[in-house]
Amino acid sequence: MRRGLRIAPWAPWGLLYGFCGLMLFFLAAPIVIILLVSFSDAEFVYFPPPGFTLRWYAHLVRMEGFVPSFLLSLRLALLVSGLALMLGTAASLALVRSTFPGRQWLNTFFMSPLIFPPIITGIALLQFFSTLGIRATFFTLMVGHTLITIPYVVRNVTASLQGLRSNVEEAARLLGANPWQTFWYITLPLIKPGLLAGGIFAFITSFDNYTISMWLKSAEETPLPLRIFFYIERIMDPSVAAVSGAMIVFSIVLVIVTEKAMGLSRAMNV
Amino acid sequence: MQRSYAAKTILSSEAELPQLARRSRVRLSGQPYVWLLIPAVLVLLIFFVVPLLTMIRYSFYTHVSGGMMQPDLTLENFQKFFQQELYRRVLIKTLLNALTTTLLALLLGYPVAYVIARGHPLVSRVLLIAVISPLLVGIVIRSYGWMVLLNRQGLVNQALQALGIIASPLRLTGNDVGVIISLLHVFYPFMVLPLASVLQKIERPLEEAAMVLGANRFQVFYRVILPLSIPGIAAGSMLVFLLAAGSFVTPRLIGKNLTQWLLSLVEEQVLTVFNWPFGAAMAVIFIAVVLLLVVVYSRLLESKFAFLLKGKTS
Repeated sequence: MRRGLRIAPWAPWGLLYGFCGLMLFFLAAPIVIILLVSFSDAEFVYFPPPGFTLRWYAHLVRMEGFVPSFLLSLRLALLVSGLALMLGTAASLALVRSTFPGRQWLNTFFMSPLIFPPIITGIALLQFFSTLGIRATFFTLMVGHTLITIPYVVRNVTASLQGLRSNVEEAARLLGANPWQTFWYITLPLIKPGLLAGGIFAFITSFDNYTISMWLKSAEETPLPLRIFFYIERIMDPSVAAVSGAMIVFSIVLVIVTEKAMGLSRAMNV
Repeated sequence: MQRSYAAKTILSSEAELPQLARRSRVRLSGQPYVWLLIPAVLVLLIFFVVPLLTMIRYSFYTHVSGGMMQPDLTLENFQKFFQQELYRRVLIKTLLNALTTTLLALLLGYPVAYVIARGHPLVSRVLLIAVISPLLVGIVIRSYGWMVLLNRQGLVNQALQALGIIASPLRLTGNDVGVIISLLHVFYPFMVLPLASVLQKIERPLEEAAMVLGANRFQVFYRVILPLSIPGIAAGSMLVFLLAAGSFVTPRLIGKNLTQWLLSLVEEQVLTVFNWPFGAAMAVIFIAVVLLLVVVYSRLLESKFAFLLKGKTS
């Protein structure tokens, strides 16, 4: 065996780990900065902050329109993730448990709203609705959001279903359970992690969506991301950082829940 | 990937099942679940496929002033797009910016994906969480973070000045540089995740075999790992390119109105000019060009892939 000139075995790994550290810094930077600014004691976004305060968070409640927008987005995201879970889980069962030809193609079809430019999906839907004479309301928002959240549910639930052997289901059937009982008592509890992860991703996607909502929202009601967008395009004071900070904290909680439920990596299908 | 097979503990012998089924006359084969596809497929057909087809039809309609359109089929909208220099320029600029973002994501993503696949389990786990977590923070908020960082008085400029690298603050928002940095941040996970998943599947004995046969680390990487990771490179770069080219929020917030992004022009046509047929035509052209590029790219990679594999066997 040849053991000629070799670099110390740890050297490439040292470099790699160092590089990863830098990338971690890059990934965290915009998120950390918002949290810092949201606690800043300055009237304008200013760095380093002269002092720390919680007043921007207290100010949130009084900011015009933010509370109704938050409630609208919350209602929308809850409803949409429920719908996406029902539609997506049913479709996943069919995709994983059946063997018809073209399943792979169908799976790609379900994923397509994810990579299709959302702004074009939004415009197409708006044109479609207005051709039918349907005005933009909560309903149109709900339809648009359901469309782009189904992929997350399908991805997570199919991953969960593939991870469990259909033998358990067959066993239940053999022992006399009907298909519905089998699903309710056997399959559902076993794919719970996938449902949770899919539901969380669906919820977050809807809650944070700007591009689809921008076309389909009604004139009267504005979802939270749109309100934040309009605000930061014009004003740069830390109160919008506080809204964002609150949303980030919320996301962190969801990251922890997902990680505990099925592991983020599995949720992303790595 | 670790999976809990509760099934195994319940059924000691899986081979017995078919026999059992035959004896008890329960139908296990067949396609009992296919009908469950219907609701989701219907939703996608009605609210995704039909609207897109409608949009393609509208792109051939004639625009009448006052935001109206007439179903007189015409190619005028497409001619207009290719005749006016502005639209061609913005299209090319959008594609180039998306391409730059993709290349940067690949260069900066490959080492991280490699560490996720091959590094210490704890490091790998931390990295994976760090890469995925930003996806759960909305694009508007992440772009806002970059606005604050890249600002004239932002942290990036302050740091560069403090380090003495630059004398006066750089302009990092309202131009392509800022947009590319933020797009890179927004879509970086979509490069790392497919890459890591492909790298994880490359079996370690292959590397060891190459080492035993006398290859050094770089040869192992260049001749074994890199060729085998091409499917991941393909998937990641196609995803990032598609998503970056199709983005809207980040170019708008970071680029302000100074950087023109093709999809911002589409928005303008529909929302401000009320020229729906032309907006639809722009969207159709955009999708056609992007899809064409993606197909050409995957063909190119496939042939390159074949070449590298051949090189290995010779």
